[in-house]
Amino acid sequence: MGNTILTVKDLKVSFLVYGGLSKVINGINLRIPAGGRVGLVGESGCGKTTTLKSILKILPNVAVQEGGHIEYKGKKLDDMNSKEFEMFRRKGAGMIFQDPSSALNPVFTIGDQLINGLKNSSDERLSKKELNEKAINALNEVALPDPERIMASYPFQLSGGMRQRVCIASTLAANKEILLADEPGTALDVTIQAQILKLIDSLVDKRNLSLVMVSHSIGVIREITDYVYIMYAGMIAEEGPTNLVLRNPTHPYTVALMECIPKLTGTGISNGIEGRTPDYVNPPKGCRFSPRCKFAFEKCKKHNPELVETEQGHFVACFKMEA
Amino acid sequence: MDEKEKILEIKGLKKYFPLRNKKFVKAVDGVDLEIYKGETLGLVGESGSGKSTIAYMVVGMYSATEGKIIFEGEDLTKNGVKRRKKQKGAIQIVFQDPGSSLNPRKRIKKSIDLSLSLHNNIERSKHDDKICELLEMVGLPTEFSEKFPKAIGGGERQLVSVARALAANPSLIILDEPTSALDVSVQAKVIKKLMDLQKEIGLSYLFITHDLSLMRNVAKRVAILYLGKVCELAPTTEFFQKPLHPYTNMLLSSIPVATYEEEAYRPNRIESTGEIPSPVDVPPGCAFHKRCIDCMEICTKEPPRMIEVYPGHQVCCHKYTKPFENMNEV
Repeated sequence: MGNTILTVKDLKVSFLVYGGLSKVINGINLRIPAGGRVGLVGESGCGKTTTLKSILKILPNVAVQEGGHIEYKGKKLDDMNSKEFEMFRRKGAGMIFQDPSSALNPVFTIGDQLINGLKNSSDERLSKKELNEKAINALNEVALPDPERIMASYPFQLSGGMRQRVCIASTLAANKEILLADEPGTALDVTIQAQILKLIDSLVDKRNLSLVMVSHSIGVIREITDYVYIMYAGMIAEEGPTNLVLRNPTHPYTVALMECIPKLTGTGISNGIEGRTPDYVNPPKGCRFSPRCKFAFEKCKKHNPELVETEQGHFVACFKMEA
Repeated sequence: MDEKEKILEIKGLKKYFPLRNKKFVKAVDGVDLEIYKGETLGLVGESGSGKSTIAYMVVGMYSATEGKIIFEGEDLTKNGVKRRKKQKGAIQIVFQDPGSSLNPRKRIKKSIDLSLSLHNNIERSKHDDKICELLEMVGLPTEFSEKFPKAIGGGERQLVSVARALAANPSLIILDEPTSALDVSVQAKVIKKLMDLQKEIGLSYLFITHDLSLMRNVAKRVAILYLGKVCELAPTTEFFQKPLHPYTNMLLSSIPVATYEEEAYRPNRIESTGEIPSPVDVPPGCAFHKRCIDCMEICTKEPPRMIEVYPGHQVCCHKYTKPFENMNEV
């Protein structure tokens, strides 16, 4: 893989909650290569979205970054001055959110919102006509029919799939290098989801973007990414090239998760995973999956497992691998 | 399958919601379905296809505009939504969002108790025992009866909804997307329990979902809805081996699958195009023709009729004209 464009190093994020400090992200490392397609998979509450949001620093006020840092092209985001960081947000990374209806402002037309975004992200001042042209081009690029009409409509006049296309258009209207996609198809029907994924796929290819895709669906990740991180409760359980990890899942959590997914082959469904995701205020000691793990032994309950390479490029954070 | 007893029969069911400008939202537009005793019928469709409207009509939350709902030999649509107590208890429903279908201010005991006292003729003094028995049936600890819905997880809440439905001694349970708000690991648990219960007490399910891979593992027969009409109805295994309707093919090829073995079960990629049209202005002819790759001239003019292509496998498409003709092809 090529040069690294973005790295997340030992990131720790907690949230101030009523019961104390909720330690959600517990030291995760990610590496996004330039032009690579990276996927983050996990169940709800495992910290996928929090990770993405901490890259753009759009977490709510109650979130505290307790440790670690994020590097963009070798420079730490924390060391950037406000101007540099603004450039990172303008030209570096853009994000698409899960729910397209709440990502758009209901009281402005699509055209207003697109042009406003374009105004702020372009270096030189553009005339009204140029801005308009650019916005229409952006809508054309996401294969929206009749862009003039869409520019004049309000979000509620569009369907969910169209809204998501508008979101993609507005994120990519300015040239970006990294696309952060937070479950872009989850709120949509399968046939529409397939269209949106195909669109993202072709845009990433065309613009040579680096993609970070977050999803709870392994199917989506398998189709669009070439490197995958499996997350559980704020830690990386397993990582590696997508086809390696999904052909040969090794971490007990990944194995159990794969068994839970209903398959088209009709082989039935497993009994699910015992227990629940841990309480982040008092997380279990050692491996966070250990209370639910069938194979857990003494060591798992005391120490945090490190990622170990099991085969070429395939890393698993489990003591079972060492033994 | 003919020797089996029908528990529910839906005939030409329609539901039109009036709009102000004298138009109608044709949510359900002529649906025929049958559910046999002890089986699971899967009802699949995209949002807006009328899945939930059918469910609400069967339960009696909506009255039908037209058509019949025959349950155990009696037509339920005769008196609008008014039904006899026994009929109400016999058809129960589990909703999609367990967070909003249980009263947040009532202990779980109370929620189940209400269903018990309305539909079940057992003495008041025995209610507590019955509640514990019901909770055990769905695999929850009996201590849960004193808890509030907020204190338990989403999957457990959904199981409480199932226990509440069971309290009425139903013979048919309508599961309206019971697991789409849950994570897969929790979904697996709930589904397993539902399947076990079906075996134990011989329940019939009308299972509504948009997830075809789940349907593959749960239902015995599948009905695919598109814009208020059934476009294909088939036994599950046959349906996944040779889907006939172009829409079904598009649906199947759109599913993101998790494993490499599943690839073989998807038809050749048919590119998904267009969106489900508005149920107010349904296109003339076949409702799907604007998105269909095999669209012929007749499709834009005449609505297709349901044809039984193979025994038990019905499809509503102009491509298939004579029954059993294509038998030897496959």
